[in-house]
Amino acid sequence: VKVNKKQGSDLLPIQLASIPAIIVVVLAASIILYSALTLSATNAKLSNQPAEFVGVNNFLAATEDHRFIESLLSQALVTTLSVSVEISLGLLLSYEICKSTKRVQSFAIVMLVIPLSISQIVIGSIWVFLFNHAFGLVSYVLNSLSIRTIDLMNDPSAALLLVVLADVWQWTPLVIIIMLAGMRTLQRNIWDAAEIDGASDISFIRRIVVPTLRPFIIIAIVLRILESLKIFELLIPFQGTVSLPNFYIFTQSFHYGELGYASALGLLLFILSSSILIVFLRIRGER
Amino acid sequence: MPFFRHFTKVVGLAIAAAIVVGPIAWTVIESFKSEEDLISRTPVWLFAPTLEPYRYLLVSGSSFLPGRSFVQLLLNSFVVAGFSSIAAVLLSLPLAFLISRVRFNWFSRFSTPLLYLSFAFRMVPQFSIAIPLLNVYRTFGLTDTLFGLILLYSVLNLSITLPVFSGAFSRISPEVNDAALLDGCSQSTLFLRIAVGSIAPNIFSALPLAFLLSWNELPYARILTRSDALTAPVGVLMMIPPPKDFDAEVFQFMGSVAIFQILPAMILVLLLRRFVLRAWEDYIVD
Repeated sequence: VKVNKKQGSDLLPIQLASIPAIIVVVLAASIILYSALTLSATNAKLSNQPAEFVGVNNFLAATEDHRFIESLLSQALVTTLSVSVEISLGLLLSYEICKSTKRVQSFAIVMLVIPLSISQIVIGSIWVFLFNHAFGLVSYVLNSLSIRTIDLMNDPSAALLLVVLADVWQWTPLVIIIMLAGMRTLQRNIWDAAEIDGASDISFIRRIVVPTLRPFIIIAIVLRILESLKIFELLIPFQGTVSLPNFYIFTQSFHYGELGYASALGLLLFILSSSILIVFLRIRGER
Repeated sequence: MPFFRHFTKVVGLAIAAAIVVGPIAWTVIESFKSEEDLISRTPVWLFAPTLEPYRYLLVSGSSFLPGRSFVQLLLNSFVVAGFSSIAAVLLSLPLAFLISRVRFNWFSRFSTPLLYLSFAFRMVPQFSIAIPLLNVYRTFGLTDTLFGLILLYSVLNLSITLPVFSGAFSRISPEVNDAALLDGCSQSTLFLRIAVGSIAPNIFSALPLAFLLSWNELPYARILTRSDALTAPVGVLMMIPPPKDFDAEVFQFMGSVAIFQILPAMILVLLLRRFVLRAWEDYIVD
């Protein structure tokens, strides 16, 4: 008890030193939240004309905004598809990488960082051009195998799948890195024992890897869900063929200048994303 | 049979590597092609390389930027990413130490929400808070300043440094802790002399992660900067050759941009390779 008391007074300099960080985070959060609440109740425009108070009208308008609802549905599809592919692919590939030699492992890690280091606008361009109807490499290969290709830019649902593909390509490496970090915590002798007992890869993954890596898998899923809600730059090369909520809010605010309405939409998206985060923190807390 | 298994595994990994590297390698190759070769229906493998896209990116394309060259924007990006990562480390070290130390008093009740709050900042879709943020920045005159960007990115980077450091601090063995305190070491000396030193690997694992995320950040920089504080990603957006309809020329341009994004990342990763996995381990285990 004595030591504890001494510790308490002793910590004062460190407490003082940590005040800036606390102030920055708390102040930023409260100012932004306050500003969001006040803005979303007005009809503020980008052009500096005076804003009027409109109450909850912006939120009512959002429920009737077909393009907003459509973007939410597209988001649901993109998130479900890309996250499930990324997690299962990431699990399989990280398992293979983990079984190989140290040299392969460090080579793989360097390779995996490449997609993560490129901005999404470049990645979007890469995939849009690979699938370009006229001169894309993938279209060329498919055509020479006499498979007919379609112009993705005229087909919103096909373009949506290309978004999923680009997302999977960029973020599966991250899932692999997370899983590799998790597999390092698996004891070497578990691997050896499984090999001696003649366990097949699939049953080893199902019985041993998945249960022990549960916290890592959960965090990968949540990170990926939340990150996929942030898809924005990736859609720029698609030139409006695909619209997801984060992108739609951007268009509303900076193309149409509807700042008030856009902040109301933003608030809705914020609630969606933070409730996913809260559910995740609950799961993690129970661990 | 073992040979066969080994063989399929090598082939499998090679295919996986090709899928990862292929699209980028192809894009970079294409950036050296003349436009004619680029839009030909059958891929051209032998061609006279052109440096036109690079000239455009570094010199002539700057006419689309308000009085800045792309090199200056790269410098801006470097300053912003560097300062915000270092600021996040300095800001979060004492706070993370407190969080790891003071388990059972008023502070612990207050510190957990703080961790979540910093995490939420990074995770919410940018445009859900971008407009209020712009509003606040306008009020305080922070728009289009490097300081404003550094401030914002520091807060975003706290979401990485805080959990990583507080986890690392709490893993310092209690023996070390008690021995230091018994020898009459004060908490602040313990913090400065022992604790910070012993989590150095974690600091080096969090820094490149924070740097890279700020280096490529577009949405916030897009709305908060106009000319003075433009960063490279926003510059790329402005320099997309008109009529901005993502034709072959834009593809070439993107290929040349890709190099400038991959290089710093590769350098950081090669220098700090052994910390990459560690960063995730820290981030997740804690």
